[in-house]
Amino acid sequence: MPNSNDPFSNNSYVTSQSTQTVGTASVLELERVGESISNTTSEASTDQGIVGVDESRYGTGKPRRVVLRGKIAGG
Amino acid sequence: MGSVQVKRNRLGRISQGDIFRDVEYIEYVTEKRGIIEVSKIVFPLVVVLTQDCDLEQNARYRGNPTSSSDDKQLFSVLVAPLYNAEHVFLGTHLSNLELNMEPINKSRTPGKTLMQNEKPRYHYLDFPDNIPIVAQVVDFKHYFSVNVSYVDRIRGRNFICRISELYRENLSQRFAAYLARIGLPDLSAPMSGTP
Repeated sequence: MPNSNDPFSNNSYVTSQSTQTVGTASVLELERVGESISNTTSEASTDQGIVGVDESRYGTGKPRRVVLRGKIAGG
Repeated sequence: MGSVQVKRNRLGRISQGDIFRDVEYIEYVTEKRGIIEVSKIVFPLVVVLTQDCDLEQNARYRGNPTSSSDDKQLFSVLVAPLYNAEHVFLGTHLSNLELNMEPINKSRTPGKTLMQNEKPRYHYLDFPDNIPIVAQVVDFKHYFSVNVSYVDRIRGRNFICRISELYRENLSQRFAAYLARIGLPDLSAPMSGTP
Protein backbone atom coordinates (compact mmCIF):
# COMPACT_ATOMS: atom_id res chain seq x y z
CA MET A 1 0.00 0.00 0.00
CA PRO A 2 1.55 3.32 -1.04
CA ASN A 3 2.59 5.60 1.74
CA SER A 4 2.01 9.25 0.90
CA ASN A 5 4.70 10.28 3.37
CA ASP A 6 7.33 8.08 1.78
CA PRO A 7 9.17 9.75 -1.10
CA PHE A 8 10.34 6.37 -2.28
CA SER A 9 6.88 4.89 -2.57
CA ASN A 10 6.46 6.15 -6.13
CA ASN A 11 8.73 6.84 -9.05
CA SER A 12 8.65 10.61 -8.90
CA TYR A 13 11.92 10.73 -7.06
CA VAL A 14 15.23 9.70 -8.49
CA THR A 15 17.52 8.00 -6.08
CA SER A 16 21.27 7.74 -6.01
CA GLN A 17 21.28 5.75 -9.22
CA SER A 18 21.12 8.95 -11.21
CA THR A 19 23.11 11.13 -8.88
CA GLN A 20 25.94 12.86 -10.65
CA THR A 21 29.24 13.60 -9.10
CA VAL A 22 29.60 17.35 -9.12
CA GLY A 23 32.97 17.70 -7.52
CA THR A 24 34.05 18.96 -4.19
CA ALA A 25 33.93 22.60 -5.24
CA SER A 26 30.21 22.56 -5.90
CA VAL A 27 27.98 24.66 -3.72
CA LEU A 28 24.70 23.34 -2.46
CA GLU A 29 22.18 26.07 -1.85
CA LEU A 30 19.14 24.88 0.03
CA GLU A 31 16.07 26.74 1.04
CA ARG A 32 13.64 25.68 3.71
CA VAL A 33 10.47 24.61 1.97
CA GLY A 34 8.47 23.21 4.81
CA GLU A 35 8.37 22.70 8.51
CA SER A 36 5.73 21.00 10.54
CA ILE A 37 4.03 22.96 13.26
CA SER A 38 5.77 22.74 16.57
CA ASN A 39 4.80 23.95 19.98
CA THR A 40 8.37 23.91 21.16
CA THR A 41 8.91 26.59 23.72
CA SER A 42 11.99 28.71 23.80
CA GLU A 43 14.65 26.58 25.36
CA ALA A 44 18.03 28.10 25.95
CA SER A 45 21.15 26.16 26.68
CA THR A 46 24.71 27.02 27.52
CA ASP A 47 28.05 25.28 27.41
CA GLN A 48 27.51 24.53 31.05
CA GLY A 49 24.29 22.70 30.45
CA ILE A 50 21.29 23.76 32.42
CA VAL A 51 23.25 25.70 34.99
CA GLY A 52 22.06 29.25 35.12
CA VAL A 53 19.24 28.78 32.69
CA ASP A 54 16.04 30.60 33.50
CA GLU A 55 12.80 29.11 34.67
CA SER A 56 11.85 27.66 31.29
CA ARG A 57 11.20 23.96 31.28
CA TYR A 58 12.93 21.67 28.85
CA GLY A 59 11.31 18.87 26.94
CA THR A 60 7.93 20.46 26.46
CA GLY A 61 8.07 20.32 22.67
CA LYS A 62 7.46 17.63 20.09
CA PRO A 63 9.58 16.32 17.22
CA ARG A 64 9.03 18.20 13.99
CA ARG A 65 9.91 17.62 10.37
CA VAL A 66 11.95 20.06 8.31
CA VAL A 67 12.32 19.77 4.55
CA LEU A 68 15.03 21.59 2.66
CA ARG A 69 15.23 21.79 -1.11
CA GLY A 70 17.73 23.37 -3.39
CA LYS A 71 19.81 22.96 -6.48
CA ILE A 72 23.40 22.15 -7.03
CA ALA A 73 25.23 25.22 -8.18
CA GLY A 74 28.56 25.21 -9.96
CA GLY A 75 28.29 21.61 -11.04
CA MET B 1 8.66 6.28 40.25
CA GLY B 2 11.33 6.56 37.60
CA SER B 3 13.22 9.21 39.53
CA VAL B 4 16.62 10.05 38.15
CA GLN B 5 19.66 12.02 39.19
CA VAL B 6 21.57 14.10 36.69
CA LYS B 7 24.80 16.06 36.50
CA ARG B 8 24.79 19.53 35.06
CA ASN B 9 28.34 19.72 33.74
CA ARG B 10 29.40 18.04 30.56
CA LEU B 11 32.55 16.05 30.04
CA GLY B 12 35.14 16.95 27.44
CA ARG B 13 33.67 14.31 25.16
CA ILE B 14 30.38 12.66 24.30
CA SER B 15 29.31 10.50 27.21
CA GLN B 16 26.69 7.81 27.66
CA GLY B 17 23.66 9.37 29.32
CA ASP B 18 24.27 12.81 27.83
CA ILE B 19 21.02 14.55 27.01
CA PHE B 20 21.07 16.91 24.04
CA ARG B 21 18.40 19.14 22.62
CA ASP B 22 17.40 19.77 18.99
CA VAL B 23 19.14 16.78 17.47
CA GLU B 24 18.50 16.23 13.77
CA TYR B 25 17.75 12.87 12.23
CA ILE B 26 18.10 12.74 8.44
CA GLU B 27 15.12 10.87 7.00
CA TYR B 28 16.26 10.94 3.40
CA VAL B 29 18.20 12.84 0.80
CA THR B 30 17.05 12.66 -2.80
CA GLU B 31 18.32 14.19 -6.00
CA LYS B 32 16.47 14.70 -9.25
CA ARG B 33 17.90 16.70 -12.13
CA GLY B 34 20.14 18.67 -9.86
CA ILE B 35 17.45 19.39 -7.28
CA ILE B 36 18.36 18.12 -3.86
CA GLU B 37 15.73 17.49 -1.21
CA VAL B 38 16.61 16.81 2.39
CA SER B 39 14.06 15.77 4.98
CA LYS B 40 14.99 15.69 8.62
CA ILE B 41 13.26 15.30 11.94
CA VAL B 42 14.35 17.55 14.76
CA PHE B 43 14.03 15.84 18.12
CA PRO B 44 13.71 18.23 21.09
CA LEU B 45 15.64 15.89 23.40
CA VAL B 46 17.68 12.71 22.96
CA VAL B 47 19.81 10.62 25.30
CA VAL B 48 23.06 8.93 24.27
CA LEU B 49 23.00 5.13 24.56
CA THR B 50 26.34 4.14 23.05
CA GLN B 51 28.59 2.34 25.51
CA ASP B 52 30.69 4.85 27.40
CA CYS B 53 33.93 2.91 26.99
CA ASP B 54 33.48 3.09 23.21
CA LEU B 55 32.86 6.82 23.42
CA GLU B 56 35.87 7.28 25.67
CA GLN B 57 38.18 5.38 23.32
CA ASN B 58 36.76 7.17 20.30
CA ALA B 59 37.54 10.52 21.90
CA ARG B 60 40.99 9.42 22.97
CA TYR B 61 42.13 8.08 19.62
CA ARG B 62 40.21 10.18 17.10
CA GLY B 63 42.59 12.46 15.30
CA ASN B 64 45.46 11.43 17.52
CA PRO B 65 48.58 11.47 15.35
CA THR B 66 50.39 9.12 17.71
CA SER B 67 47.72 6.46 17.36
CA SER B 68 48.88 3.53 15.24
CA SER B 69 45.41 2.85 13.80
CA ASP B 70 41.85 4.13 13.64
CA ASP B 71 40.53 0.95 15.16
CA LYS B 72 38.66 2.69 17.97
CA GLN B 73 36.97 5.32 15.85
CA LEU B 74 33.19 5.41 15.80
CA PHE B 75 31.03 6.39 12.84
CA SER B 76 27.89 7.11 14.80
CA VAL B 77 26.37 7.57 18.21
CA LEU B 78 23.29 5.63 19.22
CA VAL B 79 20.57 7.79 20.77
CA ALA B 80 16.92 7.47 21.73
CA PRO B 81 14.39 10.28 21.81
CA LEU B 82 12.86 11.63 24.99
CA TYR B 83 9.21 12.54 24.73
CA ASN B 84 7.20 14.73 27.04
CA ALA B 85 5.54 12.15 29.30
CA GLU B 86 2.19 13.93 29.28
CA HIS B 87 2.17 13.85 25.48
CA VAL B 88 2.99 10.13 25.56
CA PHE B 89 0.07 9.41 27.87
CA LEU B 90 -2.19 11.30 25.47
CA GLY B 91 -0.66 9.62 22.44
CA THR B 92 0.06 12.99 20.85
CA HIS B 93 3.83 13.18 21.15
CA LEU B 94 4.35 12.62 17.40
CA SER B 95 1.38 14.63 16.20
CA ASN B 96 3.64 17.10 14.38
CA LEU B 97 4.82 14.18 12.26
CA GLU B 98 1.21 13.25 11.57
CA LEU B 99 1.53 10.05 13.57
CA ASN B 100 -1.18 8.96 15.97
CA MET B 101 0.19 6.99 18.87
CA GLU B 102 -1.78 4.80 21.22
CA PRO B 103 -2.84 6.66 24.39
CA ILE B 104 -1.70 5.20 27.69
CA ASN B 105 -3.97 5.71 30.66
CA LYS B 106 -1.79 7.45 33.23
CA SER B 107 -4.00 6.72 36.20
CA ARG B 108 -4.52 3.04 35.48
CA THR B 109 -2.27 0.00 35.20
CA PRO B 110 -0.72 0.77 31.77
CA GLY B 111 0.43 4.21 32.85
CA LYS B 112 1.52 3.11 36.29
CA THR B 113 3.62 0.23 34.99
CA LEU B 114 5.23 2.59 32.50
CA MET B 115 6.14 5.04 35.26
CA GLN B 116 7.54 2.18 37.35
CA ASN B 117 9.73 1.20 34.39
CA GLU B 118 8.10 -2.17 34.06
CA LYS B 119 7.26 -1.75 30.37
CA PRO B 120 10.30 -2.93 28.40
CA ARG B 121 9.78 -0.45 25.57
CA TYR B 122 9.77 2.68 27.71
CA HIS B 123 11.99 4.31 30.30
CA TYR B 124 10.34 6.93 32.46
CA LEU B 125 12.50 9.78 33.75
CA ASP B 126 11.18 11.98 36.51
CA PHE B 127 13.72 14.72 37.12
CA PRO B 128 14.35 16.32 40.51
CA ASP B 129 12.55 19.55 41.31
CA ASN B 130 15.68 21.63 40.81
CA ILE B 131 16.14 20.32 37.27
CA PRO B 132 13.96 22.24 34.81
CA ILE B 133 12.96 19.30 32.65
CA VAL B 134 9.41 18.02 32.56
CA ALA B 135 8.96 14.28 33.04
CA GLN B 136 10.14 12.39 29.99
CA VAL B 137 9.69 8.98 28.44
CA VAL B 138 12.48 7.33 26.45
CA ASP B 139 11.02 5.17 23.69
CA PHE B 140 13.57 2.44 22.97
CA LYS B 141 11.73 1.46 19.78
CA HIS B 142 12.62 4.82 18.25
CA TYR B 143 16.38 4.65 18.73
CA PHE B 144 18.51 5.96 15.88
CA SER B 145 22.09 6.82 15.13
CA VAL B 146 23.65 10.20 14.46
CA ASN B 147 27.02 10.98 13.01
CA VAL B 148 29.63 11.24 15.74
CA SER B 149 31.21 14.37 14.24
CA TYR B 150 27.81 16.03 14.12
CA VAL B 151 27.22 15.33 17.81
CA ASP B 152 30.68 16.59 18.64
CA ARG B 153 29.92 19.78 16.75
CA ILE B 154 26.62 20.55 18.49
CA ARG B 155 27.28 19.24 21.96
CA GLY B 156 28.67 22.48 23.33
CA ARG B 157 25.58 24.41 22.35
CA ASN B 158 22.94 21.71 22.72
CA PHE B 159 24.03 19.92 25.89
CA ILE B 160 21.35 19.88 28.59
CA CYS B 161 22.65 17.54 31.29
CA ARG B 162 23.83 13.97 31.74
CA ILE B 163 22.26 11.14 33.64
CA SER B 164 24.29 10.14 36.69
CA GLU B 165 25.98 6.79 37.06
CA LEU B 166 23.76 3.91 38.16
CA TYR B 167 20.74 5.66 36.64
CA ARG B 168 22.64 5.69 33.39
CA GLU B 169 23.53 2.01 33.75
CA ASN B 170 19.92 1.26 34.54
CA LEU B 171 18.88 2.97 31.31
CA SER B 172 21.57 1.22 29.30
CA GLN B 173 20.77 -2.20 30.73
CA ARG B 174 17.07 -1.82 30.04
CA PHE B 175 17.79 -0.72 26.46
CA ALA B 176 20.05 -3.74 25.92
CA ALA B 177 17.37 -6.01 27.34
CA TYR B 178 14.78 -4.49 25.05
CA LEU B 179 16.93 -5.10 21.99
CA ALA B 180 17.79 -8.63 23.12
CA ARG B 181 14.21 -9.71 23.61
CA ILE B 182 13.04 -12.69 21.63
CA GLY B 183 10.03 -11.93 19.50
CA LEU B 184 7.60 -14.79 19.44
CA PRO B 185 5.06 -15.13 16.64
CA ASP B 186 1.46 -14.25 17.19
CA LEU B 187 -0.12 -17.61 16.49
CA SER B 188 -3.55 -16.10 16.05
CA ALA B 189 -2.36 -13.83 13.23
CA PRO B 190 -2.05 -14.79 9.53
CA MET B 191 1.27 -16.42 8.73
CA SER B 192 2.15 -14.14 5.80
CA GLY B 193 5.52 -12.49 6.06
CA THR B 194 7.03 -15.09 8.32
CA PRO B 195 10.23 -16.74 7.10
